[in-house]
Amino acid sequence: MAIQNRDSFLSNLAANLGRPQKREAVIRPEYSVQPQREVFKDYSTEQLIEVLKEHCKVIHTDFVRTDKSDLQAALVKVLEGYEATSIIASNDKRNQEYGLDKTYEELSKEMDIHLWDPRLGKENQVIAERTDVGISFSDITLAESGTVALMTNKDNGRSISLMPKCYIAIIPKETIVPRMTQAASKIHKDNENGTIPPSSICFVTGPSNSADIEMNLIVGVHGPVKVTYIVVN
Amino acid sequence: MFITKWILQLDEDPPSHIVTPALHKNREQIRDTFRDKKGYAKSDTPEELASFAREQLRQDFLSADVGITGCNFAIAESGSVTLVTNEGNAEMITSLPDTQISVMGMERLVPTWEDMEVLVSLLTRAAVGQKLTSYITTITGTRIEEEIDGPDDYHLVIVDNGRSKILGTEFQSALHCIRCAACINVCPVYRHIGGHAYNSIYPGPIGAVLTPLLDGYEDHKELPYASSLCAACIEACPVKIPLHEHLIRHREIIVEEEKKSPVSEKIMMKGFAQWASNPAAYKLSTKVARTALKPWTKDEYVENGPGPLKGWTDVRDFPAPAKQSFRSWWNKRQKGGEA
Repeated sequence: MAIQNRDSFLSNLAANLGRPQKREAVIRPEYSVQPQREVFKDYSTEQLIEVLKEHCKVIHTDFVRTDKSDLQAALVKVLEGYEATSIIASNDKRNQEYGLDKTYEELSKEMDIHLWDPRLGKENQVIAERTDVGISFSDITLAESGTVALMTNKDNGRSISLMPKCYIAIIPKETIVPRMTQAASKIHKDNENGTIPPSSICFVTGPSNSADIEMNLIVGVHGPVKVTYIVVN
Repeated sequence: MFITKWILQLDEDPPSHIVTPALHKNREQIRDTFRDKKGYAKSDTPEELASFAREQLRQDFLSADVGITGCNFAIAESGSVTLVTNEGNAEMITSLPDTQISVMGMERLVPTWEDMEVLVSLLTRAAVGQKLTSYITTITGTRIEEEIDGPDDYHLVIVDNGRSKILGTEFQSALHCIRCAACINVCPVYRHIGGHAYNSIYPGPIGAVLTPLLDGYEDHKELPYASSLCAACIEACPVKIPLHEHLIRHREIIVEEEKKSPVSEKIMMKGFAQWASNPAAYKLSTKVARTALKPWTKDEYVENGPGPLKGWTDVRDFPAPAKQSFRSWWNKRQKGGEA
């Protein structure tokens, strides 16, 4: 990594502020007012799921709740609704835990199933582009805004939630937190403890949309047109 | 890229709003642009227009070598860049091309993820009334080994472009701006004149404050006057920039330090100062005002005033000067006369 013009940039700042360049780190103040931490503060997971379910109506997202044992049936039903003939999914460790590996195996008899495979390189993106439905797990779920935080890794590409026309997020119940505050705090603390954040964390809230043409809301722009959240007990 | 920014690019038209750049265009104009530049043959419904743009831009996203984005917030602790969008355009641009360039205004920097979260919440609420927009994309450097999406070559350009000159001045709070456009949306002047009239990529109250600071008073000396000083902007501002106070200070500088007010105004103000600071002249005027305005007075109101009064009476009546001035009433009262 090369940093160009660093010294002239910093000395210019110091000169404009009329002080010598600071050499020691700034100490972050303790904020006396933090209303963001009060939102849904003492809510149980059940209450947060209710908040999430309600907010899904606002963000044009279908909400499904199921038990682990019924996940396959719930997923198949959503796929039927989307008239899906092809799927791209993350090759997540949780696939086994949630029985999705078996589900995909069964589904592969009747449709194209592609699990993200780093050995295929850019081919993954091309497949994602022509696939009907992307499926991946939410890493942190924000009840207030109806958001799934997706953390990239070699088995879970960003294209899965972005390129196909429809996207399904599998939301393990225990990933649900009140709002973005808790997600940001976790990433901040991890970073302080030496865990660098993933190369990309995407906070996705329902389908892509735009109201830029005469202020008319259009759901489905560059990203997916339809989104379903499946909350799993 | 934003669909509407693409429309403007095809039309070589500058943006008129910082959140919804093609606010000045209607659907018919957008359809015509698509038809003329890209051979579009469908209707002018926003859904069809958007789906055409989706198709066209997908190919560009997939084939581009370099992706260029702005930066809503940069997080110092982890060197991350945050992009706030609804369409998913930033996701595309940061996921697909192998080389990425992010261009960041130097004041976009926050210390930690926790601070970023607070500002993103303020931004999405103030800009579009959403809890969060559809995509809050945070990228930290290049893709790591075995990852496919994201760039393998990443450049961050930190832009000063006049911002550092604002540091340490009385206008420093203007650098707190998070570009939500709330001040623009509530401004009665912006709503009447539109974004292009500001001749700057930053229109509205924040534009009237920032543009003269970034680009000098010479070409923008009218901007601080494009305000009724109603302060609606200050009430809407999520980061509490004292916008109209900055505008008043700009006016003061333009008149007193830069001497950029028009000559006629200078002469008028000089004349007014001489007259108002001379008690005899003032006294005489108040005495003769009623008589002098008699020809234009009807039922105690001046309807078609002469000279400088004309500007007023063109749109509303002006009350005729009272029969007795306050001073003469006061003098009489002091002498024990009738009040």
